[in-house]
Amino acid sequence: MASVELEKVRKSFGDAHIVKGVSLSVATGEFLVLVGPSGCGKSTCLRMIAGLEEITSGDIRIDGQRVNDLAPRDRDIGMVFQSYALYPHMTVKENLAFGLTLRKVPKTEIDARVNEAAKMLEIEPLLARRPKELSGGQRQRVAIGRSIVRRPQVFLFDEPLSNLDAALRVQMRAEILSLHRRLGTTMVYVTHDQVEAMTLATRIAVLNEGVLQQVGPPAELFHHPANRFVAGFIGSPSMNFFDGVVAHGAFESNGLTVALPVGVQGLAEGTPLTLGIRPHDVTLGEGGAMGGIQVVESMGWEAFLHVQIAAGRVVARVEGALAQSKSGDRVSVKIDSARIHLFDADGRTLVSPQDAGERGLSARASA
Amino acid sequence: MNALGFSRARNANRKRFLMALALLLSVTSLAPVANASPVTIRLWHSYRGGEQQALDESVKRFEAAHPDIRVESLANPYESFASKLSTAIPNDNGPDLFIFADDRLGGWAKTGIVAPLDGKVGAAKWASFLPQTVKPLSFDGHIWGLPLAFKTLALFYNTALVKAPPKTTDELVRLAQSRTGSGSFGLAYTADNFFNHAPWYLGFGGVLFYPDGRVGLSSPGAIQSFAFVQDLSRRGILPKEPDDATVTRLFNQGHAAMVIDGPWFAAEIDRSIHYAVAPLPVVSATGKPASPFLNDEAVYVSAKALHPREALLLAEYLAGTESALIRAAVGRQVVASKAAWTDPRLQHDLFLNAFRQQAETAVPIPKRSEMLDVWEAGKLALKMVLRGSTPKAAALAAEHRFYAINPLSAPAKSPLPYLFLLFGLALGILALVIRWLAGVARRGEGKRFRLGWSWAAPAMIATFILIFVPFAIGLGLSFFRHHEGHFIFIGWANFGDILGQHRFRLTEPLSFYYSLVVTVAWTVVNLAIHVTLGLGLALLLNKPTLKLKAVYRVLLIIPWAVPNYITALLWKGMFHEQFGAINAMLKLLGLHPVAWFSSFGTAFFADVCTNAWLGFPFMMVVCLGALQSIPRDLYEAAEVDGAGAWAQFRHVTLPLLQPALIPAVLLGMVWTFNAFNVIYLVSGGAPDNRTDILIAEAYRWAFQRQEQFGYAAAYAALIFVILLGWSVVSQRIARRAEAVR
Repeated sequence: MASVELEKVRKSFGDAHIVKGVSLSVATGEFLVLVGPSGCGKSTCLRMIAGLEEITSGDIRIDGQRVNDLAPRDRDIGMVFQSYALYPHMTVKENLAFGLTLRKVPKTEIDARVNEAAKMLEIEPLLARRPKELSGGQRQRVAIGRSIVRRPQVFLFDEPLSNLDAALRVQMRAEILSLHRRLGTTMVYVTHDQVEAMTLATRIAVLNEGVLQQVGPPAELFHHPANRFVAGFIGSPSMNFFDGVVAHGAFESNGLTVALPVGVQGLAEGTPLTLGIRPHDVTLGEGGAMGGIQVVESMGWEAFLHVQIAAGRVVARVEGALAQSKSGDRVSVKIDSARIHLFDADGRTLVSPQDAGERGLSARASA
Repeated sequence: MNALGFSRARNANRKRFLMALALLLSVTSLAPVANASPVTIRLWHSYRGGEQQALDESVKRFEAAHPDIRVESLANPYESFASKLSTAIPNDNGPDLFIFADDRLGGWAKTGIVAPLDGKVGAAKWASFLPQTVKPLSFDGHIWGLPLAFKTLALFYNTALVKAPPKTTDELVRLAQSRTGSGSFGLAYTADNFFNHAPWYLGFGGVLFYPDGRVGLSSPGAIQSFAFVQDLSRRGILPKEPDDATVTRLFNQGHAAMVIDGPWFAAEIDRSIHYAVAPLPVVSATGKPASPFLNDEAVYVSAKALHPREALLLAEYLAGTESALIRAAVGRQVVASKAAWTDPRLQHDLFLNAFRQQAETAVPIPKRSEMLDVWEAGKLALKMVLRGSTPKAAALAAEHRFYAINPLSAPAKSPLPYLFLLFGLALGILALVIRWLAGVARRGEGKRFRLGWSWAAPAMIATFILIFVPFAIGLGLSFFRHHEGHFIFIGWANFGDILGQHRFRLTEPLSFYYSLVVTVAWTVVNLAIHVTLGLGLALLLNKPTLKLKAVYRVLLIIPWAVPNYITALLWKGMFHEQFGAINAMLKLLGLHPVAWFSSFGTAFFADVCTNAWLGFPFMMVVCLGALQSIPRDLYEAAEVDGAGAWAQFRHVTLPLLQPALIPAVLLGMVWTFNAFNVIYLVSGGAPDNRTDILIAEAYRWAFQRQEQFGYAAAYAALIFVILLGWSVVSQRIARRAEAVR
């Protein structure tokens, strides 16, 4: 077990700057999820930690030791690839044992460790098979198992679940989590799926266009996003945004007027602002902005209503009888100024709701 | 332009391929012969260049004089011409008349291929030819052809280097010695060709055949003649490993003072070289003149001619004075017509007169089919003495070879039991086909797949005609013995002889088992090199950091793109003992030059080098394709797992290449097993057929040793069986490799 530190790490391919100075430290035993949209540089960061990609500048340390110039095999890491990267010509057992065989571990110990990992991942009956005879989920277990048997200091996961179907993904997520709990090893996990990030992470690091946006526990990112990007990226469905200005001491956007919350009342008239509100904070009731329901995403008890109001489209989470609304129904959407996030013209957060912690979350906070 | 029989090396190789094809076609196709007015007669010849021009001109004049006769003349590749005549005429598929030398007359007269002419042509006509040109056309008390021209060897000399031609061999040696040195040679000719050696052989009193039929290759005169050539070579007068191209080049560069060659050589001499021709010198040791073979070109009327009367008319015209003058003027041929020589143009032609003079001492080639085996045996002796064997040993080896390659005289057998077997086999196959067709009909597949069948049909029919029919004919042929145009059924005798080892010792190059061992070694060594080189280069080309990849790839594929016989001839040239690039480099490095084709190891090495050059691009392309299909993250996974470069290669690259590589290797093995071109063109079996692989030996039995087609077919059948067995084994291996993926 070890810590991982990135210090001002940059990666460029010629003029293309992929990672633009990321500094990040992962504590021993932590489960850090690197999340961001496609092409944000998260996989590159992971590959630089693994040593599969050279660092243009900056330092990477594992367990306090600078590893910039170490080959992957000397970094004592385990890595699980998106494509699983199982050796097609080897049996599952050989795949699991490969790293140990190369390291000339005695055969009895190899067998013991392989069996232990296989047991942990419930792939014992598959040991004699070849990868092509396995399902996607089974292959993923083998890929994880291959990392486990070597007992590395750090596990690296590169979008390991993206090739699985939704149900399997949920199951594997839980298993990876329990694995982390059992092994306690430091894990760095890359995904573009914020749900995965929220459910797995001790801490999440959000990356966009090669720049680190925010690092923190999932709840913190959810309730106190550092900027508009994080606010929009974390949470499902996404936060609703309205662009507007300060007018008569209130937020004003195309007929939508919301009083400014405490702490930002000193803003000058005409200051451009963006208002953000999460769907579960939007309520329906008399006296709000009127609009027609365009789409109903029904989950049974609850539903997400896409309502078109003058200021734009807003998604609202409703429960019970309201969940039975039909598209075309006209409703009144209310935006409570106590529940809004405000962002300045540069996307920086000016204010977030104060009482987030008390409301409790459906999402898990941390292990 | 060279229609003379025995300068075999010249352009021989392509012609031989064509010959095999032509032979096949002539056997399988039966062209109808038109019988309408005006009468069309077919004339076959093997003339080229000026000689062909002269013949065409004569034919044109003949047609003008005989409007009721049309002449269809066909130029045949020389190498295949004799066998084509031997097989086409008995099948009523040959020409009405043809032009050929006198050396095959014996067999053709005996087997009824040519018709005797002595009763049909008047005495005055016979008297109009030089007598020495009529004599060789007599056989069995008849005269069989009308002489057109003759060819002999004579001495060409560069008049800038040689003032007066030598009169005796002592003079020749002295003169040649004085013109030898610093890259120049006193005398150049293809000394390992028995036709070119014949003047010495006969001049020293060597016997070709004793009256009782034994061959005289080890007669005292023969041995002396071999010693004479060895002496020429030891003195450095002769260039090493001389071939026609080398001789021509040396003479044209002024690096050869004298050349022994026939009249066709004149066409190859550069304009800047002033030369003259003289008869060959008298052999000092015996006082006898060096006597070259006389190659008497005559026109023959086929015994199966459809229009013998018209054919004879044309023959007489071609042999007449008018035609002879055209031949002399246009074709530069030494004509047989006496009257032509009274023409002032011929009288003052020093060149033609030199050959006419040489003809006085020239000797006709013995008219017996065994003579064909003397060429190979004689060549063996010459190669051996030129390599340094004692003349006696060489002569004995030649004699041994002569008897070894004599055709099998297995008795004819009744084909009935075999036919019975064949009939049973055919019945069985028919039953299987019917059962299958019934199945197709029952399942209604015939209708359902009608469109599919109609698309597959052209390919199936073509495969049947082009592959199965010739294959069946070849297989059938292996149960026959070919003797002068006739095929005699002999059952399993060919196979029995090949596998039974009655005629050759196991370690002799003519033994099937010896050749098999060489072939297997050849295949294994080549494949190992192909794979190593191909894989190595593919790995280099697959490096993502490599620049100019496309350029390298193209450069490395070039050896594959160049026609392989050109490459083979280039390599042969590079391995030449005296003029080759490889020895030149060895000399630069201060090493001794190597006579590459004088021992098995070095000759085999030269063959392997050539074939490695030809074969690695295929393996490289296969490997490159396979390498590119290996996902990169497997290497990354291996890297993380702790694999270094070697372990990645060993545990990822190699196993994942297997599915692509193994079929390529298996295929390459079949190709290499039958890589006739390289062996035939580079080492040519040297030394003494020791580097011949099975297919090359099969070829020699068919086309160089009295046309033992049946014996060669049996060789081919055995090769087929071996490869079939191998392909069954290899399919298993391939399937196992495929299971990996």
